[in-house]
Amino acid sequence: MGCFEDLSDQELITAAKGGSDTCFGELVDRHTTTAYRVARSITGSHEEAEDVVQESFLRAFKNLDRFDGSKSTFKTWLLTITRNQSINIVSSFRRRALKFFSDHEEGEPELEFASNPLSQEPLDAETQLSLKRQYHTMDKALKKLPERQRTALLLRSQESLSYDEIATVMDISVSSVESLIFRARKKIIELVER
Amino acid sequence: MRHIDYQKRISLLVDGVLDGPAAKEALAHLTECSDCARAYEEMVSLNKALTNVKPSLSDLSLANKVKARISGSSSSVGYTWNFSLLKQAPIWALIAILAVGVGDMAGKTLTEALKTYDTSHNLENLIQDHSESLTDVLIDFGQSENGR
Repeated sequence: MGCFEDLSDQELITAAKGGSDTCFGELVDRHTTTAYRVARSITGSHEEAEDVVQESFLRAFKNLDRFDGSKSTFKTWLLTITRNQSINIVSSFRRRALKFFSDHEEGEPELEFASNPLSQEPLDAETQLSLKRQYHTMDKALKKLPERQRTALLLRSQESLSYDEIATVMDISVSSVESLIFRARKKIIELVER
Repeated sequence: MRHIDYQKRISLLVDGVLDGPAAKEALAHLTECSDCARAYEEMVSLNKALTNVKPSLSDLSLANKVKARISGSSSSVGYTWNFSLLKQAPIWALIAILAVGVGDMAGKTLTEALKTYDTSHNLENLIQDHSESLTDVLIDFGQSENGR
């Protein structure tokens, strides 16, 4: 079976369940960046985020038969796996031990930001530099938030997930999502203003 | 409604998830409360800033790595070894040693625990019991010494 970009995630999953690795590959292309951003925001590390993304997709692939499209979308299911994997990594003894013994900062990859969707023009150097400064200010403030607040806020503001989807990913109620996002906003505004 | 409750609603307003009447009420509140109006502006700016600084992966290397791992794993299905039990072996060995220590080895050295023989029988052969008290033994010993 051929795979096309206009197929829905659900159609790709049906094909992947039938044994098409190529269709699962299309799902990988669609959701890698989002999964990476979620993992990166929790682990705070580029390398660990890459490991988490690989492991999460592998788990999703191996457990594809367990995926129930009536309960969640593939994206929310994948992000749930990604979040859990990231939390496991952060709380692992091995990781804490490594952090304790080596306090070095790993090299950040060259970050790129989405170009202005209205102009379709690539961003000029000055705008890129300004965005990088803005990114580091935001990144610093985001790191000071509790993981749940940070994840809820970023899933909403950067990934445009609905409150229902965020509730599914984080396995909490919609009213908890509302509170987490509100508290995250209040806190981050305070931190940036200081 | 308390001030903080209005601000919570404003957060929902920013995300466009507040329904008709509640949205109208929140918007009306913004016109008469400067603190909440400022909070609204700040939340809108924050949303914009977070969207602007959304990092994107410039190359496809991560997606390719994922696909390579998946094709590797699907081709090796049936030939994978589960090492988790082997990894647990040292822990089980430690538990077994502790269990033996608590049970059999209590108060004994490792040699004693491993070499099981009855030492009391040998001692009885060495020092024969004539139903004498310690005092009797000492008196006998003193007399024999004085008699030398």
